[in-house]
Amino acid sequence: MSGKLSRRDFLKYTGMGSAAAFAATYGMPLGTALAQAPPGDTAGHLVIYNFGGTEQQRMFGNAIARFNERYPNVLVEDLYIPWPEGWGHYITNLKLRAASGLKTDIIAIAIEGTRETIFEDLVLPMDDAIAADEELAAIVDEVEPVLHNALKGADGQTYYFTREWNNMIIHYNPVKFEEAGLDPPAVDWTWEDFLETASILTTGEGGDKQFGFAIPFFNFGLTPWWHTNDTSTLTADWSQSNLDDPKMLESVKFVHSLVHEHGVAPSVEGVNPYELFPAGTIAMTGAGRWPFDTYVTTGYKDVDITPWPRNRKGTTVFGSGGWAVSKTTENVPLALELIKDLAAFETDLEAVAVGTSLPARRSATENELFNSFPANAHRFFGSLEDIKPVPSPANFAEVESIFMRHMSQIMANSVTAEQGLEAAHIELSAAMDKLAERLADG
Amino acid sequence: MQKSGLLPELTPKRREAFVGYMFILPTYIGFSIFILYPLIESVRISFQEFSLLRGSTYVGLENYVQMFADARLRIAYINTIIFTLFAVFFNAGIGLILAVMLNRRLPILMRNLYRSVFFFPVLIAHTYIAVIWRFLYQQDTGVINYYLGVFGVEPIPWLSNAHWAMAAIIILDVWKNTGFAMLVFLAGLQSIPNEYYEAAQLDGANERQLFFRITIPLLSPTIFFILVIFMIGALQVFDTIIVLTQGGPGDATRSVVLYVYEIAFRTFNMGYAAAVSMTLFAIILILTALQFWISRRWVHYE
Amino acid sequence: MAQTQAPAFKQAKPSPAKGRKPVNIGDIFSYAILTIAAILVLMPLAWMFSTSLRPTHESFQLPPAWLPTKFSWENYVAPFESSVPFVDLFINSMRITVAVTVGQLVTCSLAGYAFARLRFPGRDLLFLLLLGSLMVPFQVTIIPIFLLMRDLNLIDNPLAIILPGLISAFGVFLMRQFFKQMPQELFDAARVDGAGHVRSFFQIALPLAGPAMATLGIITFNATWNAYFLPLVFLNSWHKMTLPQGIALLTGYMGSGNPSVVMAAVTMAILPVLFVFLAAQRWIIEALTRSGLKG
Repeated sequence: MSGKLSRRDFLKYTGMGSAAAFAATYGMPLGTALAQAPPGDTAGHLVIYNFGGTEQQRMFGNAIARFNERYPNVLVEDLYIPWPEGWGHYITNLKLRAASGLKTDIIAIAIEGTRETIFEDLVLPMDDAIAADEELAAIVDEVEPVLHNALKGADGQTYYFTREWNNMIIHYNPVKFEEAGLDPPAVDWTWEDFLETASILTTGEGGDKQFGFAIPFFNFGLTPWWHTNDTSTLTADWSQSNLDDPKMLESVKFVHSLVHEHGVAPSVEGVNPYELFPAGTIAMTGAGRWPFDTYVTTGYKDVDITPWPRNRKGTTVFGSGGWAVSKTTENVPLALELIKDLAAFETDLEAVAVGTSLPARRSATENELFNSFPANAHRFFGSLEDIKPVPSPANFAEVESIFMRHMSQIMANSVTAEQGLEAAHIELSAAMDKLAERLADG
Repeated sequence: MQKSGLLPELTPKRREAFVGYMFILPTYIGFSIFILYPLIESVRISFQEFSLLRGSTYVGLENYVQMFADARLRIAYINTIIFTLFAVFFNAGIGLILAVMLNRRLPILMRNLYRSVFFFPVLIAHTYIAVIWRFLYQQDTGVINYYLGVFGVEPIPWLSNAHWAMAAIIILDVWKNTGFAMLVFLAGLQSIPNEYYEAAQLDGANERQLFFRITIPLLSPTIFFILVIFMIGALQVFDTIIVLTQGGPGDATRSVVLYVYEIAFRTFNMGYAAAVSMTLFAIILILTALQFWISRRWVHYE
Repeated sequence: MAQTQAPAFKQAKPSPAKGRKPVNIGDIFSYAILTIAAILVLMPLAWMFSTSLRPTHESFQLPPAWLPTKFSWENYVAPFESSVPFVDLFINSMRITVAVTVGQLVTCSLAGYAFARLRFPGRDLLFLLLLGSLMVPFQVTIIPIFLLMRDLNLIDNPLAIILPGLISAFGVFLMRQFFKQMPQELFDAARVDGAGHVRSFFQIALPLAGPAMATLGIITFNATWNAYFLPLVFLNSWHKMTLPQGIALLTGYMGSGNPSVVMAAVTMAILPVLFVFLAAQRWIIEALTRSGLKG
């Protein structure tokens, strides 16, 4: 595959114009080189390995329709894995396809899976293609840099074009706040303010019991508690366990205390905050934009968003998804043309209407539709000022399962926070050592 | 039809054997392709450091040796055995009691109604059941604890305490599966000719004696079937747990298959996962063989 | 019993359900237990159904409303208005399920009969070998099976689900036990009439195997209808998926989908299995009264 065009090689071709250079590198007939993109009558077959909910599927279907207007003779197959039960299964399926020599041209994946696909050599590097193609470069430029950079490989190379993103932000019920005589939370509120607010909002008994908060009890949902305390489960370069950090212990103890010491949140096991919140059983929870799809379709209105309460810092977490060209594709330029439609501004506009994720471009949110609900919708993009991606090393699935297993034991009071984190640290360190070995062999 | 029929002229014994082989042929063709071959492949994988994309290397018995030092595997085996004992006992026991009660003199309509009700949970896929039962089991916001609270009982940590979580899994499993045992028992009970009961009643046997002297012995092939099937199923329990607790809290409800799934799809250590599966396979095989061997003492075929 | 002739089984007999004895304490006790058990079994399902008819934000309140409080039928329309092609998925699921069920009834009754009633060298060993296949967790054999299906060019083809489903060690075991339980006298009588093994199977064993066939039919239909993991691995195209995959789409990211709509979709997905169960159940009764066995 000639995809590994280096910057120096590229410069040699500059006399021919960047478009021709790009086309020549990918072995296209010279006649079409200046047009850069494959001609509109190109016949072909592209397979997308994709994921998402029903509305996203419809939205990407529209992108494919736009592509087919330009390339009517290209058959696009949008293969689909329903919301995967963890990314491990999704990636295994992808590897099985690769090992079996099954056709895959475009790969969609969330940040949790990007490093693994890069390490396993499933996706093509894109830096040179971006340099050679103004349209691709424009797509990258329009996306918030922090989002784009998070999907890069450990080598700093771009492999993925941003597909969508979600952060963690507090969802609160303004009616419950008003009933309790509380002002909406200040944007710079602290853990103490949060605890006090949650205590006031925890009322009633039996069937009337209301909790101040429900803990989103999964890896991504817990991460803001680490980030706002200037720490994380892994070191900053995602290479080693950071669970021996005293700030992690402090954070874990705080989460534990919400249920066990202060009783402001229900016991986490079996609880789905996104069912309880619209039912009025809880006054606050944490999520990205994803529950808004259901809020809108069910006509639920009593919700607004506010930044995560801070302790040492105001940093929250985000996760993004991306589109990459599969290493096994036979027609890179054609796949790139399809990505241009999938990652187009039009798709971002539709994402605004759908409400399960945030669009890659801020400009897509500068409209009435996005900003009318929730009232403080601008805080979604506002959070980008102080945000870090969810730590996503190549062994993400393993890291997640190790940490959450110990975390659930801590929440169940089977072990103390100290014991649980210590055991998790030992296990996670071993897993990260193994990863380092694997990457070195790679 | 003539005696010889479509079959070649053979001795009766050979003809019987020929018909036997023909009858099992379709099953064995499918079995060889879709079960035996993948199984042999899995055995091969269990001796490898397996990688789909980077080539696998043979590591001898390394995967098997690794198991002896694996404390989590030990816990998974203990959980699996506890689950199997309780799930088999309650599924088969309650299923039998329900079937026997349904086989009494009930109006047909009532019997059909009850039978449908008890079988209903079997019809609903595990993935859907999770939504319902999580709402029932939640500690602070759940239905069961709400009703217990009405009677002044403190909230039970159904899913967040190691012991209660296992109990919650077993209760869900029995709710879901005992209807299946009931249906099979009922089919078995209904194939016991009435004449046996009539003859025994003429001899003055009471209901209890009828049950233990006629029902149980004549039903023994069905009872045996249920015990074997439920044991094999319980030792491989996966669905009930993954939808409710995902093996947690910690490893409190992690079964062997759940652990295998984790190794295979999260740690991507397929070789080790295959090796663990092989031990589970061997254990189930031995226990089933044992059941067949013991069955000779208590199962009566016509 | 010894002198029972095959034709005698063709006569209908009064069902014991008609009642030959007055109602006694034991019956009342049975009734009470059965009714309590039935209510306990039904409550979660009643909640599911009533939730499917409620707006979401009224669903998770305590005390729970077991019975419908509202009739928001639009929850039942919503799945069809989503981008999931539910009609296609229904047809896909039905095709796969019917093919597998019919296939298993044929292969399992034949093999079950052979293992129960015919003698041939290696019979018990072959049976145990087959039974052994029940003991392999498929989470591990899935990779060899995937590579095999790929070699057969069956990825993203419903045959990848149908072909392995045509046989079942469980089904063979079930049928074997039922055939074993049948009175030997029947077969002796048929033998006297000059019937061969094939004829004994079709004319004696099979008609009496009604309850067993119906049982296996329901179980297979249900298991195939609800299968999730296998289609998830093999069927990835939008229009080739099965119903459980479609419903999984509705549940949304982190379970944030509309639970009322999910419940409505689940309720609709149950209907075909329920219908088959009720039909098969009726067929069991008819088969029994015709055969004259205890009904």
